[in-house]
Amino acid sequence: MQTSSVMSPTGILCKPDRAIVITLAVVAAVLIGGFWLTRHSDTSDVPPYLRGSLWPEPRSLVAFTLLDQHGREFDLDRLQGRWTFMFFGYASCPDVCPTTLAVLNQVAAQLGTDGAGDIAQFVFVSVDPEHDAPRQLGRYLGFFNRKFVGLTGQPDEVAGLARQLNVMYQRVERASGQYFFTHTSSVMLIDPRARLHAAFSEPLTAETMVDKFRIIQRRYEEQP
Amino acid sequence: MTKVILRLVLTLFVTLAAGTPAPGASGVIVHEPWIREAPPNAMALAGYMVLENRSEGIVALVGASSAAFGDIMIHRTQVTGGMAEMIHQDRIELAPGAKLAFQPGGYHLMLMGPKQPLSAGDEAEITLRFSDGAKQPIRFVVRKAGAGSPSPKPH
Repeated sequence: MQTSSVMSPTGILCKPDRAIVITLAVVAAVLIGGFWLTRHSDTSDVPPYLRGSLWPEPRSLVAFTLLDQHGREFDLDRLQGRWTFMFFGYASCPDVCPTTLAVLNQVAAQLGTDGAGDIAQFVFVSVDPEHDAPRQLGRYLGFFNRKFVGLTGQPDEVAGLARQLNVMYQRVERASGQYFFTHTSSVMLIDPRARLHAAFSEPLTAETMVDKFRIIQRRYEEQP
Repeated sequence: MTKVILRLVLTLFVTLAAGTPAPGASGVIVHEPWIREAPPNAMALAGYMVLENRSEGIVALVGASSAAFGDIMIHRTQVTGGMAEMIHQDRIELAPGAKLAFQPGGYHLMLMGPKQPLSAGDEAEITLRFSDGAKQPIRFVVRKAGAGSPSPKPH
């Protein structure tokens, strides 16, 4: 772009093309503003692959108290310092829960083999705490992986934790007296600062979860 | 008459040659029936299989029963908007020639109240009931599976 300017005999730049100066100023402002935005916005460098999974901003969780399968208290402290894959289900679920637990077992195995195993824990929360007592949960989960954590406790504590994680569930009664649960089948990812960080939704495969987790983990560690 | 006999013989020969189970009275073949091994205290297990309607009419699966389980219901897992639910199926219709897979995350037999714990390698006989009144007793094998079917799925 040619700047038409006329040099007067005194060397002063006179008759600057105002439109061009304004254009340059606007372009400069846009560049500076855009640069500032990219430094302060998380979404600009989120690969499209992750966009459906990452929470817009990690959400800090508030206090809750549940019991693990050994009868020990499980609260916010036990979510600190490591990643948590959390899934809500119930022990008498015949299809979805065993399928998901088997997938999580594969995830655990894959993370374990690359040395990242200890930085993640796998937690199953019962949406039927009245029937899934700690010992039952222990026997149920031990079948899949002895290191999985099973949580149960007061129904309103389970409800409170679920609400924080945008997890929904509902008991459905049948005429025969049998009951089932409709429940969120996504696996929630909580970061080492006990914040809801991402959610993995159906179809759940070990490869996809491990892949996404590694990218999420790397991004998390690169942040100040 | 000769034609009918010939056709029957041919069907038998082809069926035997193919190595697949012969269709039951309803004309339905049950491929690879299996039960996913569950924790010993599980109150409900899942049965899977592939149904193939080899007859020339529509046949529907309308129920199942077994001495090994208190009750059996046909269900379909459906995930909508992130929520998983099980939808009870009164009947599963199969068009002539159709194949329908019962597999993890989809159709399954919900096997409630197991009379005893079942481990990988055990077998349980489940009788499938069809719309034409036919009853087919099928031996389901218990398998320890990962997330899906332990063997390659038939297409």
